[in-house]
Amino acid sequence: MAEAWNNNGNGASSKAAPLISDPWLLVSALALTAFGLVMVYSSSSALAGKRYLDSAHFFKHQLFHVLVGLGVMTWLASLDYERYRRWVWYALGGVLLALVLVLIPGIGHRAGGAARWLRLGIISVQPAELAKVALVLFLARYLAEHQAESKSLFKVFMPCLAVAGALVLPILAEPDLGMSLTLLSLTMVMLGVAGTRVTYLAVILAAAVPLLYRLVWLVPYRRDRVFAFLNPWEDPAGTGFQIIHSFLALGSGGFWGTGLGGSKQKLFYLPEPHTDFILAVLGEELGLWGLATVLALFLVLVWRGVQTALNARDLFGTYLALGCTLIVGLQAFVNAAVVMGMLPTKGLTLPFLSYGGSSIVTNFACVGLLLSVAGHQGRRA
Amino acid sequence: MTTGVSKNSRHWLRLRLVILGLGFTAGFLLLVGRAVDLQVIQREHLLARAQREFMRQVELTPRRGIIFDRNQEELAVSLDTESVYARPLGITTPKQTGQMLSQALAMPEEQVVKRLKEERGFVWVARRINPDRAEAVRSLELAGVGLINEPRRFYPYSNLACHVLGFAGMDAKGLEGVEAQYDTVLRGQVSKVTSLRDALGRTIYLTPAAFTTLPEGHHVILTVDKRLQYQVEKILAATVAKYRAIGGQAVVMVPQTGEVLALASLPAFNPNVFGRFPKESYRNRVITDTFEPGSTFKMFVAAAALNTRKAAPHSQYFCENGEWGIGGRVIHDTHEYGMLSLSEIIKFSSNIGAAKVGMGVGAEELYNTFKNFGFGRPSEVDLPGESRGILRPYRSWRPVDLANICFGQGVAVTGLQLAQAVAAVANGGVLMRPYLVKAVVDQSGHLVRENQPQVVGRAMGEREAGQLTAMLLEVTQPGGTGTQARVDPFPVAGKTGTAQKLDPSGGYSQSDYMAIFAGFLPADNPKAVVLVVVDTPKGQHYGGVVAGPAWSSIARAALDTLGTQPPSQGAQMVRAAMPQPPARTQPARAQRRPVDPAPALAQGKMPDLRGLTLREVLRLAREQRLLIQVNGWGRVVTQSPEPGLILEPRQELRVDLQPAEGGA
Repeated sequence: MAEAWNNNGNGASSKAAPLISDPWLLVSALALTAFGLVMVYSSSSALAGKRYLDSAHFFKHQLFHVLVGLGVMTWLASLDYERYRRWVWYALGGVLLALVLVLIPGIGHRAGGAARWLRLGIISVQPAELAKVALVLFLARYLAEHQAESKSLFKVFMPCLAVAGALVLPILAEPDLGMSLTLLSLTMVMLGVAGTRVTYLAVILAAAVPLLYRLVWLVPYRRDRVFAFLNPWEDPAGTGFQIIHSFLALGSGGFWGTGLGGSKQKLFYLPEPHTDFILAVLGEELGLWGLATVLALFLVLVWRGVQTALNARDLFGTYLALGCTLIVGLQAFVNAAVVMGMLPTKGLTLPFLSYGGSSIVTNFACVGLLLSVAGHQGRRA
Repeated sequence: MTTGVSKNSRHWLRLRLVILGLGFTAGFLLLVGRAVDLQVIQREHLLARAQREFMRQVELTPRRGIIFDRNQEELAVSLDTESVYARPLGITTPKQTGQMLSQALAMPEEQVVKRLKEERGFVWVARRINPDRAEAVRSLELAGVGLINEPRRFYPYSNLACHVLGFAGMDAKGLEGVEAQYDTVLRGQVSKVTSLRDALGRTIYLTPAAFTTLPEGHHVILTVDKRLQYQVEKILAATVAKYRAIGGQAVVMVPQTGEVLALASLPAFNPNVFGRFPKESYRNRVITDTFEPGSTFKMFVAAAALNTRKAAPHSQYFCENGEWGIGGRVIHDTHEYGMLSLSEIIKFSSNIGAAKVGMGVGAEELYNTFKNFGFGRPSEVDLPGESRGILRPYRSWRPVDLANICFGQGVAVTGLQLAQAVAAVANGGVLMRPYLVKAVVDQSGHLVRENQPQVVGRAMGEREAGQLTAMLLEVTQPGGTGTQARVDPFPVAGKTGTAQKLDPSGGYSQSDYMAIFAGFLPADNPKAVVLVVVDTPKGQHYGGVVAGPAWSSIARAALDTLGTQPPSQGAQMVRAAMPQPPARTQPARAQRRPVDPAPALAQGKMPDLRGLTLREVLRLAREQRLLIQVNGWGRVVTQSPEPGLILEPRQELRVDLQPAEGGA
């Protein structure tokens, strides 16, 4: 642990203030947030006006959470990430507790048929979002400490999977299949990068098939989603409704877009215009250039994350950076793919853009952690 | 990290990280590619589909303007009603929704469900339903089902002036009469809010407040006088009934301006429920049907003779003692006449005499005169579907044709053309374009357009018109054919006509006639031109006998309406006590001050409506959501329920109205 496995960061960045230790990373995250605030307002104003008689309802909430997220990010970035290694078990324990609490009727807050939120005073927290960070912290520490046995089934693969499973089970029970799959794929990719045997991953994937059959095929609404994905035009009024209206939004946008506020699909044609399908509204109002800009910003963020992982002073830093990058990158990719009909509907938000407090704060936390890794390449707390 | 981590291992870890980064890059490039596919390559058809969904919606028609009579009485109004629509794409359970809807609307379930299953963005379920059902649908709060304010056209006086008004169909589009002719004016700007409809079917950007300021069409003010129209219809109907005729026409015009004060055609229909009447009854026979004018046409032969100086009123013609062969045909008169003056030819209506007068004038001059009186061309009245009549070019006239035309055979005219031509005689020879719409005003009452009297041309000289009038005056003098059309003490100038109808098999019918009287009064100072045509009367068929009495009654009513007083006879001044204002001003009505309904309404009781105008009652009923039934016109005289009863919403209210009686 004592040794910096990488020397090139030594000295040079040691004096830089952590928050601007990686300006590209910070700027792309802030730019995405700015896009998000504008699009949340534009896409939700009609809905908010109808539901709350305040067209800025969602926008105000989002702005509040962005401010909270910025605070969390600044705080996390300023601390040496070495400190977070010690937090792993508390984080895991706390998140697990929260996940279980969510399932208890009366404590967990239900919305749309799923119990996903915990009410803490005036704010409500989605513990599954926090579980992503806790899992990444755990995996980063465990993989870093067991790098030598990275190919071991029992010393690395199974324990990591067990912890991930412990978090996934209560999330599955919420139910939130999208988030469960996110946590599992996060674990798989981190294990893969750490160097686990490909056969283990293959076996797990094979084992997942009957499980997915059970979880997807036998649950009508999920099965419909798969069908809708495969052939949305079959049932435009039913299962294909969402994805078709996403297509229509993107198609209406064209290259230049219809202009901010010009989306017609957001006018209740497109369900959840400000959360899962915010990218469709963005594509309609800002066109291809806007959509491509957002995707490019995410790619910049991913590459800066990979760079941070490569340049980290130790393996914990590497894996922590990797995990945080994955949280943002994987989810961005999956959400965009869903919006464009390349993956079945999952119910995943688009980091930094979609409306949602816990999601925003979690993503800023990830950037904070990345900045901390980037900003503490040469010295230790 | 522990020393167990080999340099090699670190190397592989770095490699896998870079590969991950490249994988992400490939993934995001794929996403951009897909975005190009959707937003550029597939754009056309996606956009078309999107627009089909939210643009191919129903247009919000503004509230149609009101049609007023010349005294601002409402003849056609728009009442607020609601229509039920559905957005099938937003309905997940069409069966269930359809069942509930069909119950609320009392419609067959399959029919409703079928509509809800249509693959369209918008369908009508039921239109212009009564408030009860609208309320029932509203209370169901069904997703994808909504109500739209769609005003319904209401004609408070049912049949009154139905052929002038015409009617507006389901989409508030005028289909007949003034409703059709002035459709764009009445309809106003159709607002294209269609593209602003959201998935819930609500109209976006049209806040509830915007509904109250729904763009409205302009109001149209007719030249027609409702009270006169009512009497004209009553008199005409009585005559048609008396002679078991198949139809009838009546027109009252102001000769100096061409304003039509009344226009009636039978059979009639009720524009509120026009669908229940045969299509045939929609026809405004006064302008669409042509008939041979018969003897009435002789006055225009005389006009040609006077105008061309080929004859004077006293010019003598030998009438062949009732039988005259010409061009292989024999012309008959009803009586045997020897020598008759031109004036007498008109008075006794001699066919032979008229033919001889016409031959003296010559085909070309006759033809030109007829043309100048407006025959053979549309009068350009502001109603749709006008016929031009038949007036063949004079070059094709054989001598026998010329003779026939002189007593109104072989030509065909519309009732309005005939009235217009007679009006030209009354107007000193100047032909005016007849018109039915005085003015168009906007919602706030500002004049948008005013139709001014329009001179078509001079049909005959002024002096000659005077001579002709004197001759026509003789018709209603003792011995003339039109004595039953007298309106004492006013001098009446007119001409009878008894035209044999053409048999469908060819030739003239021996049993079917058109009985006509056309004329004006007072002859010395013409105020009104009146035409009465009775189609195929039974029993009697002479124009003077059948149409004459009706003409007299209508003419008297017209003078009453216009407030014309008998010439210089002090004893007759009794009528002057009546508050009969000139036609252009608001008539003074109501001898009884109506009670203010507000206090009763505040207590939830039926107010005393007596003395209120139709407009006031309609507004009150609309506000209180009462189902109103109106009988008559003028002011309320009786009402049911009685004043003081507890009001319930959607209660039926029946009011009988009567015109204010002068001097009462």
